[in-house]
Amino acid sequence: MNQDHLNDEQMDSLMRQIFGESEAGDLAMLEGVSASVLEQERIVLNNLRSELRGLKEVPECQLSTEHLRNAILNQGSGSKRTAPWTSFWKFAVPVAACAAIASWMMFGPKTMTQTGQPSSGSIAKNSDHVAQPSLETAPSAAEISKDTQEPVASNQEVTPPVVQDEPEPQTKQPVKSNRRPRGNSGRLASNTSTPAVSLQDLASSAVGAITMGFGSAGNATMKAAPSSDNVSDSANRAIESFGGAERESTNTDSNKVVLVGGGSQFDARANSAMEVDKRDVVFGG
Amino acid sequence: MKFDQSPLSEKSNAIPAGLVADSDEALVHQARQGDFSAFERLFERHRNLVYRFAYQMAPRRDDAEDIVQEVFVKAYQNLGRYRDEAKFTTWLLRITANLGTDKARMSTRRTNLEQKEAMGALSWMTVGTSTEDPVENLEQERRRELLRKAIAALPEHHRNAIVFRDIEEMDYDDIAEYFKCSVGGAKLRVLRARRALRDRLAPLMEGE
Repeated sequence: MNQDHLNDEQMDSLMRQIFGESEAGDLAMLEGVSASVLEQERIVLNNLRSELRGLKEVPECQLSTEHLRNAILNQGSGSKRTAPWTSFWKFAVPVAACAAIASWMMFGPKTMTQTGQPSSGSIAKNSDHVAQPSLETAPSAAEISKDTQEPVASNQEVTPPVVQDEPEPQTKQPVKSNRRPRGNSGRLASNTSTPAVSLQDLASSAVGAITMGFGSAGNATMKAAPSSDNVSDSANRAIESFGGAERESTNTDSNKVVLVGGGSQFDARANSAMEVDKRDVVFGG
Repeated sequence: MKFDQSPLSEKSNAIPAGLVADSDEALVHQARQGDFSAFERLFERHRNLVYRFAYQMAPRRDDAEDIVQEVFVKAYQNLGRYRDEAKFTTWLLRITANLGTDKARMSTRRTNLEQKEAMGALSWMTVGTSTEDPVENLEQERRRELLRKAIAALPEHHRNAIVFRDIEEMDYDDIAEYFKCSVGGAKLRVLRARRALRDRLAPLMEGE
């Protein structure tokens, strides 16, 4: 019985015959196939072959060597090799940027959350704003002495200062230095938390500066001091109006004053100090 | 002629032992040393092969010439990467296939558009004429156009197999080298490609 169509193997055999690549067994493969089917398929494949060969005819290529040379010159040889360090920097810069951002993310916001304050950089800026007006508005020693002398002047008699059992809330606050902060966020935080410096604090710091013999605020007050007596009185009162604990500790030695000299002790690595009776000391410039 | 932008540094221009003078490999060696005239000879020798292959992918002269130019520029830029174990023509055809695929897609789209506008009436004038009968030429060109479209619609490996074997009449050894397979494998690929093309064209060709 003759087949009315070709299977794949028979089609391959016929193709090999038509395209001139016949192999042994191809003829045997096509036995039993209907002659009409074979003839029709031969026509199709012959047309296909001739048409495919005809596709080789293409318009002439008009690309010249001059075109090619210009194209190569325009595009370069392409054999330029980049230096190894170029690829290194290609990766190093983004990595460094990422590391900087990561470190900022890790440490920057952490300080914010831990202290509840802005970072030290912003504190430094803020503390400048806070500390500067307090220094500028700080009254001079003369004003301090006026304030402290007012009750004395009104009563026209010198009364010893009364030591109160319950210290005032203001005196409980630690004595603050008028020095500019140096970026310590903890100290800065305490400074910024109490922007207004009380008069008593200023007086005590002024006296402290006088006794210590250094400090910018102390120098300023000493220069502005009108007389040594006024200053000594105000200083005495200021000394006696120190904080509670301080007062308790100094009550027994209320007549003692520590003089700090200019020379330094090598062992202690600090200025040499000497405790003397305050009646032997003349305060003032 | 010495070319300023040589792909490799200047070395000895002598042909190494084992290479036949004026062979592709010898010319490649000279071109690697900066002798551009050797590369020009390679270009003149294989320009038409690359062009025909490109033309089967992008059946427009301008596009095919662009592909040829790009292929040879790319080849010159990458002469250092060419390994002598493969034939230079095989390497060129690989570059052509890689570069021409995208370009062929655009070219086919543009050609279809233009043919719709011009009805393809004058396209036969740009192709070599086999007969003096204009009607016959038009009919022949129509059939070729159908065949080109059918080939272009084939998968790339089938299309390349048809072009290499049935259009360019390349040996199975070279086809096997291109496909990186055995000769038997290359024959099998060509057979499958023919079968796929025949299945696409049979309805059209039987009607004629």
